[in-house]
Amino acid sequence: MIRLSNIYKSYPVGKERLQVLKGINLEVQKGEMVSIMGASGSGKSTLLNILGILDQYDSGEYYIEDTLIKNLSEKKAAHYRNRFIGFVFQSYNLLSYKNALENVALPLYYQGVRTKERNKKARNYLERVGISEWAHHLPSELSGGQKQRVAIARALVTQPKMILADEPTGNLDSKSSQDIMDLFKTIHNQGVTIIIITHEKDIAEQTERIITIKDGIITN
Amino acid sequence: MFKKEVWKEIYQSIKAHKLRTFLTGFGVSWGIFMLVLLLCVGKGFKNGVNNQLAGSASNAVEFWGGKTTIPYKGLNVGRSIQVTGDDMADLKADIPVIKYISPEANVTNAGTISYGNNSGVYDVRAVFPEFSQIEYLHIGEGRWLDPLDMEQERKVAVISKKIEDQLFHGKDPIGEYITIKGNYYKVVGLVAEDTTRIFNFGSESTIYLPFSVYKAEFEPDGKIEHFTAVMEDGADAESAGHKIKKWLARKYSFDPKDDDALYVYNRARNEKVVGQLFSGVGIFLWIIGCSTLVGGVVGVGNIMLVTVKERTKEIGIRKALGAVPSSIISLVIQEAIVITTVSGFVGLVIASGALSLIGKLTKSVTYFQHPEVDMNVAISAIIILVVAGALAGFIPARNASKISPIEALRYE
Repeated sequence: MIRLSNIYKSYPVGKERLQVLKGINLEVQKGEMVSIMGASGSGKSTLLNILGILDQYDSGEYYIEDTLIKNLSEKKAAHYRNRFIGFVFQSYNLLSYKNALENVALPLYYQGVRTKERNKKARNYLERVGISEWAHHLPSELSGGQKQRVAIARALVTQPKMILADEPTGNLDSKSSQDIMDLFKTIHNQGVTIIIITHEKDIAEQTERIITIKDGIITN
Repeated sequence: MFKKEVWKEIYQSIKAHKLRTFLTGFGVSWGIFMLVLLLCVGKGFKNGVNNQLAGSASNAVEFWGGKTTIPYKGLNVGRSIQVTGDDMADLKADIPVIKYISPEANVTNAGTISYGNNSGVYDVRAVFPEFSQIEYLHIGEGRWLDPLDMEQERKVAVISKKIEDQLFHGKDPIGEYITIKGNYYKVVGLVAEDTTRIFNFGSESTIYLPFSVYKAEFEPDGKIEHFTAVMEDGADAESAGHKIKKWLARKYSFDPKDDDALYVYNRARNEKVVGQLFSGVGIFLWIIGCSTLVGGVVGVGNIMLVTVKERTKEIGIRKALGAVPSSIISLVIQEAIVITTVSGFVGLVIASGALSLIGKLTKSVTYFQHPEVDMNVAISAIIILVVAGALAGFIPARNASKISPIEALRYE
């Protein structure tokens, strides 16, 4: 499903280049729910950016199903992000002046889906994450847990090949965190591939498989 | 280009920054207001002056007798050159390009002119009937002087509204007799009051007589100080004027190059100069107006830069969700166009309101006429606005499209 082989990535730091990823090999099967763990500076965020087609890598190969994700134009990258990946961020990243429904519908707008169809789908996904009664509220009127639910609905609405969640519970209290993890599990049971990047052990332990990254290589 | 969703996006973005959008829009409104106001006020003056010039034939040359300053054929300098009324007919016969010609001779020491117990002091001017083809006098009542008046030396007079008011006090003057230097003159016509003219000084207190009567009664030699010749349509007034001067130079023995012997004034050239002046002023007003507008447009560009900076994170989110660079660019440019166009329209509407008010207040000002917004100005203004909006949005949009989603998502 998702295959990374020998991924290298470095960043320029002054005159030197800082090698961040030193040959990442990783496979995630369809329908798997995995977590990627690592301390800060381990290369975890860089890996996330590459997985999310937000950043390029220097060498190696990255496949999503049979599509090679390499040296894409901005337009092509945007297209694949839209079709293949659903993002869930630590700070939710909802658009503050759009209500929950409009936020969920936004990725479909970039697919050129018509308004009516878009709203129907968005409503459906808000229902699936259990906050359909908040559809017309602005993010500022929602709690952290509710915002993250909206974000998850937005990630799901395009029916992507994977959900990429970056510290999805980082801003939440333990009760809300557990609710969000339960939601992820439910979605997982419906057959969605989920990759959670976290540094919290108890979150990682709720996934099927923990991938640990340290100093730019995967240790397990 | 403008889908319903786009309108909604723009509406939401503007709504999120009401005050800022208002202030930006004000800059543009003001710019367009000033541009339109300047152009239309300029046009008002142009209309006014054109109207003035339209009060008399334009393809005309005027002549005044003067004093020689160049010795000629043994004759001394300082001789007065005085043309006579009889020269008019000869000139017309010899120089076919002359369409109308008329002397203007003032009766000197006309004294008080009276009707019954009322009297006043007025200019008394003797002219040919074709004078009305040289200065477009509007006859309100009765008739203008005609060739029979000339032939038969009829003692008739055409008076103005002002004289009618002062001498007749509302009584119908046509057919009544006024006294000029002891002689009775029958009033046959009344020149209507014409407020649109300022160049023909004193025409509102002038009494016109047939030239033949003047010759018979006041000036047997028929000497005149001033005459005007209108040339055939399309004829070159300049060269015709030269011909007339040469003709007179031969007759009165003065050097045709002597500018002071006979003063020549070419109205056509004057109109051309006025026309050039107004196109110069027009260009100048465009420059000032556009500069004011540029201020507003730079303001919009500035605000869009700030907006893009502020929305860095939002743009990052949109990119992560699959927005292609072109959709970000068009979003920013369209917002800029909408702000400039809408506020520009507001400025245009206010300007036309102000202009109609100015138009009403200055209705009686003769050199300022119809300062309305015309289609040309309105259309150019709209084109300028859309182009300006696009320009204002261009750099901010390019900046926005360069925002990397990773950087943006980290941006707090």
